[in-house]
Amino acid sequence: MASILIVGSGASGVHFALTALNKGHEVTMLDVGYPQPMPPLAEATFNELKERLDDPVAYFLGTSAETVVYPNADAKFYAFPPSKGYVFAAPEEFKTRGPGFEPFISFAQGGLAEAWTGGVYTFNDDDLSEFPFEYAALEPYYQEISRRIGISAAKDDIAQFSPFGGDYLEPLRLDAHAERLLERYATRRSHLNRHLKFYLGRSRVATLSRDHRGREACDYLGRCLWGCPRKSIYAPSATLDELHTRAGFRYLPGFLAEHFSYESNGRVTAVEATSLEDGQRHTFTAERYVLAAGTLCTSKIVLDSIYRNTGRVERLHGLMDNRHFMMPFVNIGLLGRPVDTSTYQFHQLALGIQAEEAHAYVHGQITTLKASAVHPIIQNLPLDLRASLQVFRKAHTALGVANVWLHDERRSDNFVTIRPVEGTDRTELVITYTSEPPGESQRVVGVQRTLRKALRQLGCFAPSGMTRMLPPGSSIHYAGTLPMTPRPTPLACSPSGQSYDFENLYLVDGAVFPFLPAKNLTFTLMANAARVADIMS
Amino acid sequence: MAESLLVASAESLRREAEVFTRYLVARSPSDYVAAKYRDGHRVIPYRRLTGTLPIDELLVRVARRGVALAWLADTYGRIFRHDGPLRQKLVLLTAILESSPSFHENMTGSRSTSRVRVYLTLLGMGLGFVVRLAVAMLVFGPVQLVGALTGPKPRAESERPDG
Ligand SMILES: Cc1cc2nc3c(=O)[nH]c(=O)nc-3n(C[C@H](O)[C@H](O)[C@H](O)COP(=O)(O)OP(=O)(O)OC[C@H]3O[C@@H](n4cnc5c(N)ncnc54)[C@H](O)[C@@H]3O)c2cc1C
Ligand code: SF4
Repeated sequence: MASILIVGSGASGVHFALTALNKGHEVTMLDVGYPQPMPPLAEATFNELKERLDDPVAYFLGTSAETVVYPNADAKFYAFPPSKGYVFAAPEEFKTRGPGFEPFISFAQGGLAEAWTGGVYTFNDDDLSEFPFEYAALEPYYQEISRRIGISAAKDDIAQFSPFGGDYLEPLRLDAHAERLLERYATRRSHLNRHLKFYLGRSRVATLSRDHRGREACDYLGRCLWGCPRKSIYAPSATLDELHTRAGFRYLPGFLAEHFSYESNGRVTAVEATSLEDGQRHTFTAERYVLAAGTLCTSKIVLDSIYRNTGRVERLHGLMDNRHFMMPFVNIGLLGRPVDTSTYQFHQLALGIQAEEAHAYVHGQITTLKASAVHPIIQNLPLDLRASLQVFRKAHTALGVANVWLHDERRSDNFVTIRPVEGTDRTELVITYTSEPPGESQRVVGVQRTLRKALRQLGCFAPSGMTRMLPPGSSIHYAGTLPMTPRPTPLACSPSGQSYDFENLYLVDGAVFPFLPAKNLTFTLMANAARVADIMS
Repeated sequence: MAESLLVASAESLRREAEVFTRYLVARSPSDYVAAKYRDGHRVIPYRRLTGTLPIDELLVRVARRGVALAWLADTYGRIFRHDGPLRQKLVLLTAILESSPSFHENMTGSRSTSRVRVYLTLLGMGLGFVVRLAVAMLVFGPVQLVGALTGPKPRAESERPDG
């Protein structure tokens, strides 16, 4: 059995580690690992927090109201709440630049998925056509991950695009808005499927509809965006808690892994990391090394290692991120209905739009806005704020947003590299993302048109001026810089995640995806990480 | 020296909180809301985002004078200075109100209303907006026009705590 050193405690890292421990390996996990602050008043609902907290404005907006979304052409319909600030905090030693690309990087215990919305969709054979294995090879790992995290869903029209042989937990309770959309869909289903290739179903969410592995079922407190106090929404920190109970596991937070050293034959000999407590460099050794630092950080560690050992500055080509737009809409039949904020706040419905080429399938999730912040929405209504507020109050229950993603492909002009920072021995990560997949702009127009028509069929109206195309980087689905390839290729890895350049180095996060379907990728990240750990010889 | 928009005194911010809260939700602000509004001005980014124009100075000064004038200035701001300082102050206050004890209830649709009433409200709000906009254009339009022809371009200034 091998000693394994893994960098990162995100979704990829913890599931790799759990499977590796199950196989009898010894695992040391190196992590920056900012911890999650305790959510306040665990039993309070969203509105009760506003009444009962000593300083609710600080909780919801920050101590100086710094997370207010101000009017601005690029303003989003929501902001990350201060309680999630720890997820996006970065050590000052870590620098990145990427004009035109908005990178989200996490150094939290559990990584980015401590702030995710829990959408979990399997990739089918069309999605995996450029992967060096088929759906059947991943299916047992999807099932294993599902047992670990708990997925609430139903087998409905989305199942044909996101197959799953295992059992889901029963679906979460729908709110009035989502229920109405599904009812309308049922009556117009054949038209929508045939003419618009539009499909609607329940979201597949890693949120519990019943107690599961020490986590409690959702009690509909409506605090999802601010951090679920019941841990009903899965976060990798839950698996990290489980890892702590296992013999053979050692967790070392407070270390920024900088680079690894290797011999001329490519054998990695150690990882060098900076202690964030005292700034000292430390060296860690093991038989095998695993990078699960998230696509961008894993790429930087590989680039820095090559630079340190050879003086060469490489480029890792093929960075991908799904193009993402948000289409707000009004469900006309719900105008004037009272709003219920004590419901599940994240997306409850998933949508799919079939494309001519199967791999260009479009994926979306519908969120009905109940407990999200009011001010980012009303400032965009075409009236003064007082009138907007009155209109909003009458339309609140009727508001929804479709979040839609398109696939991405590896292209050589989208890449990451490093640049030495003057006066230091450090580098910064430089991200260049300038080209979109061929025909994407037209595809976006077509998809928006189809979605608008479908929403109309569902009794909704989507005002055209309000759709927001988000800048590259915003979908936070990063992949593709060190892809799995069937044959040995420089700066790539084998189907079993083993680097072709460094024989005892394994890559287990999004960096290894050779293609990025429109569907949220994290379920596949976790399944693939478990697969790599399982087949590691 | 006359106080400028960018360095409003604590007194002016208190007055703004009073008038703007009554404008938005027809109630006076609590001390908590007023204090949060003042504190929020430490990081309000209006200089960074849009810079300021002479019209911004005028819109804020007029809006401070009372609810009806705040409504008029905001109507004008919505169309012609959507991301200007007055709108930013009002958005800051909206965000504070929706997070504050008891005021948050004024921000969400908790009561049931018939569909007909909703349409009537929409119609009323839309018509009212158009009428106010026409008046506001007569009042503020010339100032902005003169400013645009003769004055400097919007300045994005560095942050400075107010109040
Ligand atoms: C708001 C939001 C919503 C999302 N919603 C969804 C969704 O619904 N569905 C979905 O599939 N995905 C979603 N995602 C994306 C999802 O969170 C990510 O795909 C996933 O978390 C990536 O996991 P990872 O383990 O590969 O990397 P990360 O989560 O980035 O984890 C990286 C880990 O490595 C550590 N690390 C990094 N660099 C170093 C270093 N140099 N030294 C030491 N430690 C290091 C970090 O501390 C962290 O623990 C969402 C993300 C966000 C932010
Ligand atoms: S509604 Fe959201 S915050 Fe509340 S228990 Fe369910 S998952 Fe947690």
